[in-house]
Amino acid sequence: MDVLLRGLIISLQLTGISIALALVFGLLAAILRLSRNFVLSKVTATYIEFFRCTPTLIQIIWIFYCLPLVLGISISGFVCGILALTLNLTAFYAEAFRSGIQAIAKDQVDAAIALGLSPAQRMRYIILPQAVRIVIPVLLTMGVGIFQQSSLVSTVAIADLMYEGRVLATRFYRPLEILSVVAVIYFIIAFPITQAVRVVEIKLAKKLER
Amino acid sequence: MGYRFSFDIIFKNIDVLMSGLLMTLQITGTSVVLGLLLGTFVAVLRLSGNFTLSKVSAAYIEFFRCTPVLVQLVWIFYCLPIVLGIELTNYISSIMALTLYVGAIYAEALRSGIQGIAKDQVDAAIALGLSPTQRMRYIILPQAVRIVIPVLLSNSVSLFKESSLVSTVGMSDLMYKGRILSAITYRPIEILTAVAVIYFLVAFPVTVITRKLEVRLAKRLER
Amino acid sequence: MENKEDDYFVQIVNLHKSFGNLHVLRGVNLNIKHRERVIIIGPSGGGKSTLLRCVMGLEEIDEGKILVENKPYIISGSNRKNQISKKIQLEIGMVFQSLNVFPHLTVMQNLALAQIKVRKMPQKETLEKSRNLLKKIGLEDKMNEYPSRLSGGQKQRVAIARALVMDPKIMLFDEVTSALDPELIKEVLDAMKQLASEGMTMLVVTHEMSFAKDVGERIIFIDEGTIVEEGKPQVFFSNPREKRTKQFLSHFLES
Repeated sequence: MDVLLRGLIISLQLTGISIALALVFGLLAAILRLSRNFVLSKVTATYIEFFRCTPTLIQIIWIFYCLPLVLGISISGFVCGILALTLNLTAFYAEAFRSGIQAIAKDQVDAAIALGLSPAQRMRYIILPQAVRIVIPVLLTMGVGIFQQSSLVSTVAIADLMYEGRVLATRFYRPLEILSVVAVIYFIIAFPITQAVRVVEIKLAKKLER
Repeated sequence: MGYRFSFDIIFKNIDVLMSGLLMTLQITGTSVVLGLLLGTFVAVLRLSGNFTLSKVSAAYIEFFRCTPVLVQLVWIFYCLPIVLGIELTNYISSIMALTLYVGAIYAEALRSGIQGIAKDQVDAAIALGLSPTQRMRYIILPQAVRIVIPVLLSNSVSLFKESSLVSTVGMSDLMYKGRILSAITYRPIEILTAVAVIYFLVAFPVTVITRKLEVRLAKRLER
Repeated sequence: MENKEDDYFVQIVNLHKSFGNLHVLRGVNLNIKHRERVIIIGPSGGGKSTLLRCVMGLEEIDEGKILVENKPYIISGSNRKNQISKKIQLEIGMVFQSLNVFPHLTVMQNLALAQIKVRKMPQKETLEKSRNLLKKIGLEDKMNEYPSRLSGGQKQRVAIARALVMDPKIMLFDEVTSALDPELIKEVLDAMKQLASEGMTMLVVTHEMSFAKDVGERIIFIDEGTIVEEGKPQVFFSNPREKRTKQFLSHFLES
């Protein structure tokens, strides 16, 4: 059982670090995506689309097998996992932030321009505070999603919950019990958060109605 | 460490990759169709007045949405045969797992689509004397489906990506072929990049079409 | 008594603006004197809001220029990139039709934000100035409230105060009462009347004809992107010259 817990901790670490990094880089990417600079916008868009339109599995496998060859250095499995999950989640967060930012009513931006606020000031004091509030449910849901996706690192032998589960299942020849427990563990963590997201969504809808 | 790129290795093995792609598309397609049937059925159950049916279908939906697809797949492949006492080929396990997974996703999408149909329309239907089944069939579902098509499309694209997981239970899909090839040819960068690009070339156009559909639908609803 | 200056305060010269294929403003020429109160009326889609938005610098103009106190403010440039003087832009204030006070900031924060961030005023001075202005328009007690707790009329008055606290030399009003329930319109118009009596130069787009008659010094009728007719309110409303003007006004006189 404690073997599974060990794996769970790895899974949670992978998830937590990826979310933290993706929040920062995702916001950055969203802003770049919306910038007037054509090159910056297109390059960021390409990155976002590519990581959203390819399977997470191939991203993990590529980073695990190919990146060390490309860079000529060896990368630990854990770091590969972080890298892949972060790059993946950042792309999704970027889109979430972007639609949040674009949802801020144009007339507020007009008023901000009329008051003389610079683009950076507009973003910082008017747009972002409101956009972030709107996208929190989406960010949470995607965070749960990356927790599920983290199970994929088991395919490149990173010792997360799934990996440990499979190892135990084969060692003791008891796949049914062990894999069921693994499934339940994932569920116990994911489910409360999805319920919390629903509550947050309802609260937000009420607030916006006034 | 020297690594000489030779991208023509891709073209030499393109037929292998294509056969993998074909399998991927086949698995995805089958799961989409079955998933839609299952999802519609479950959505209707979820919204039915019957408490038990509603709760059971809700449990199914939540469970398949809150656990990793990989876990579901591996469980169905290794554990289900034990439970049922029969052999399951990896093909059947794959289809089953993907269908159950995407069925839950579709069910949620359809549910919110159905609930989005304005209450006053349902009222009018009731006033006209239509039975619940007739209301669902002629008034609610036709409109709900139109609204949720973009969501269903993007969920299907997600399924296409998740289908790569069946490689872990030995299905000869694009991902599987890619991994075998990169091991055989000792050229992981070229092969795996090609695999990623192939997935992208299928997923991206569909995503773009979905977005255009969303815009068109939004315009239509505004009138 | 107005102080009639010979130099124009704002000069709009040959303004053209298109949105795609739609040529909305077709060569508008308008000169505004200091402290003058110009009212713009006209049918929807005629270009009134667009004109204001161009003057505020929210839209890029396609052709023409705008001068303020004889200095270049906006000059149309090649490739849809206008030359615009940010310094002069700060001297223009605008209030919009949508009640766009910032919902996530309190009333006081709404007023203080631009002062602190744009004019770089110290916080103490900002708070005092904002408070005095709120007192003047009678909203001092709402100082720490969030906009969601205010009525439409109160929100709009906050929007006016927010623009005023930046000490603009000219105020643009874009149909500021059109989105309000009828009983809330008066308080906003009263605030605007008070502003007018204090000598603010105003360019107002409105449908409120009685306000136009009371407060306006010059009425301008814009239709299909050009100024069709203009004149003093007494003459304009009782004896419009152009056929289109007569047609438009007849809809209002009937009510």
